[in-house]
Amino acid sequence: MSEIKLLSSDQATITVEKSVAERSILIKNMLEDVGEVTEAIPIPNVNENVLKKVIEWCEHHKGDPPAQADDDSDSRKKSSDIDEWDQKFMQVDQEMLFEIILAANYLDIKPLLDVGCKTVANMIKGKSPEEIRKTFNIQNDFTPEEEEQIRRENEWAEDR
Amino acid sequence: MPPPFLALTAVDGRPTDCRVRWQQKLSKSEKDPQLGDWVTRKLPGLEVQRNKNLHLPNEILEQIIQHVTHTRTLLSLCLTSRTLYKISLLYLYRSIAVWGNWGEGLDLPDHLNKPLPGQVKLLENLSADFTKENPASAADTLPAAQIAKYVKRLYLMYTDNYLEGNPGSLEPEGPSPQSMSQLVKNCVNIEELHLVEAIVSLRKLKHLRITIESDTPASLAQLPPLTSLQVDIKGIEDARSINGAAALFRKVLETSQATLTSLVLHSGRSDGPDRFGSIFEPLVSQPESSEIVNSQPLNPTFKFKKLEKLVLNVFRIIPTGKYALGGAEVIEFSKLTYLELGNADNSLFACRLDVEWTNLKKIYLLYNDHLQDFLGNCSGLETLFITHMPYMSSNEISSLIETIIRNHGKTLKSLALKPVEAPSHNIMPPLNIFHLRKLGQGCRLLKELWMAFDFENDWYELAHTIHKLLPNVQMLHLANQIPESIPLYHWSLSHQGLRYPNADAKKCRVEAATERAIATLIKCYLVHVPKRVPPLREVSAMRTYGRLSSGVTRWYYRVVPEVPADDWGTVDWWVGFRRGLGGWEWAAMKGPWQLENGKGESGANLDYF
Repeated sequence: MSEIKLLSSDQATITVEKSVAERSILIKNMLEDVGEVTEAIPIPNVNENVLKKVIEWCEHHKGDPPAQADDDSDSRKKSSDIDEWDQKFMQVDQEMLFEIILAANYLDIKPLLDVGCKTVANMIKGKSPEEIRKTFNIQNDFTPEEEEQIRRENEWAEDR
Repeated sequence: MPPPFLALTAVDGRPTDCRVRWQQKLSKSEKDPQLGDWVTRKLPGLEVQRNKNLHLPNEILEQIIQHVTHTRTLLSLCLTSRTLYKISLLYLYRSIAVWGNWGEGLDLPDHLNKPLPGQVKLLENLSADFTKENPASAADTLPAAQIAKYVKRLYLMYTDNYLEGNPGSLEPEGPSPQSMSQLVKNCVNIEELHLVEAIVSLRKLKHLRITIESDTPASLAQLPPLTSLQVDIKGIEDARSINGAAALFRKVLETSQATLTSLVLHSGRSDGPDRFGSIFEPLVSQPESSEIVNSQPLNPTFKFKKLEKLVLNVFRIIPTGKYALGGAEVIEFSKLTYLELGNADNSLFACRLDVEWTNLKKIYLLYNDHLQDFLGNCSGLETLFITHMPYMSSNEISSLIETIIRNHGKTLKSLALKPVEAPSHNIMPPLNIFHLRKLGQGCRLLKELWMAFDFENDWYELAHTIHKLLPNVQMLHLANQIPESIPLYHWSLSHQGLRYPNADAKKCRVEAATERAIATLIKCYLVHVPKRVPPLREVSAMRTYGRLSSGVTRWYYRVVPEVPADDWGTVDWWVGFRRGLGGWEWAAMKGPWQLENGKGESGANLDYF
């Protein structure tokens, strides 16, 4: 069983099974390009804590079949369909959750990115604009008039 | 030494889930929740000090928003900032399933029968706007015009009376049939249309679900090539109409043969499939009065090129007529991923086909003598529904389960083994505890299970048993009718997805929240004697009965070790709870129950609690 080393942004070296690391398309492609490597592969956008978390996810899902297109025509309906283990895995503070999403995006781990996005989507369900701003750390750049206009145009959605 | 302080921390972001966990703290303060306090759950993260520099890029925000289907949340997202407005608006409009539902008599699912003022109002506004000769002010027409650009899914439900223009059956303000037709035409981006009858010649239409209750609309012949087609035919009785419908659908199928990936044909007819016959065949038995003069066999080159999903109920796929071009020739079965045949002949036909089922993931078939061979000839099924299972001995069922495990054990997620009828005293139930154990060991991914089970005296142990034997099952559907006297809600503690025919879903939801709260409290008390009880994960508490006294309901629980432990005998098995003025109160029969704030009583007589 071959292993490779990953070097986090804070210079921590983590040894991981190659097959586990290859859940990341970025790493998989990199390994295919360079062949056998002995030195640690730098992952400059991901710190040690997050990288360990991502590897934990990859280890749990290493036997999963490759992602396939869902045969349900409206896959958006399945936003709450998160595997129980993944739900527990995502029970982290918000900063870590966002870091995992960013890492999954950078490392190109689509299923993990999906789980993260679904978790956040579930998290903001029913929230007010102000609460969503807090969640995403976003400034309100609407004028009161613009805000009122959007509300008026979409008032049909208010009672749903 | 006192036990470490434990604070309840809500960690699950899902609004419908009340799961909590314990988190040890080295020190406690007065602000922290006290042991046993009722703690309002909080969404994680909102109060967490965030990294001010942490922003999710727009493409990730869009991916998150794609998973939001709640219309009001999408509106909130629109109101959050300019960036999120740009991303979310499209999804807000796409989230619209515009329902127009007037009149009574339609057998709609519950969620469609609820009042949806926003949706109905929207539809009324839309139809009114489109039929105005002189549009009103820009401010008034903006929503309709804007929405018309984005609406992709439109569901229209109305009665025959409505279509016939009988104003007496309508709401006074309801839109007219003309305005509805106009609405359908103006929403030019409609990709998915569900309707009883209406104009269906839409250029961009890809998904059509249509219910035909009288004459088949002639505009079906003008449909563009579709990706998916679902047809529900109800009440077409005379031969002329039947032939007319068959001819039209053949036209639709010929138009869409290269694009159709999903074909679902249902019929509400209960008098057998013979009169409608197979729409794949030539129309050979039409009466003289029929206006369809030339009944041609299907073009010999007719073949579905991309069909992946096939659902046929009464419609036959077996060739019978002289010029018949049977389903076997127009359908490439090896390409199918989803096969549902709700008819014994069709099921038998499919099971006997000499086909390499390389892509099949989901099947719904009636039980027949060739089914087991069929299951042995394919592999990798994720969903397996077998209905109308006859009486089978335990060994025969074991053999069937072994075949399933051998060929599909590594992939199977949903399994239904539904008997011909619910088990009675005279019919052996199809599954017993040994079968369940086998399934649990062989189908590790199994998440959903439909079955009938003879519980006899084991009603109380159901959740406990299932949880142990099938630890990954999230949804259990029971075909059994469960006696009213059995307290059911405790099952949701270990199986939130439990469904059973006589369940009162709403009541279950309400009480399940209480159950979870009490379960948490039970765990709380148990951890006070950590050396004398099994670890928490090995303990479950099941409600046995409730008692109302002086206007306050008491719930009595039996605390059960999931793994027998030598020292378990020192712990009481029974504890009662009630909601007092100061919060939850408890009493245990005897033993090591302790509570810091003194709201509980050990060694109590539960009859007086």
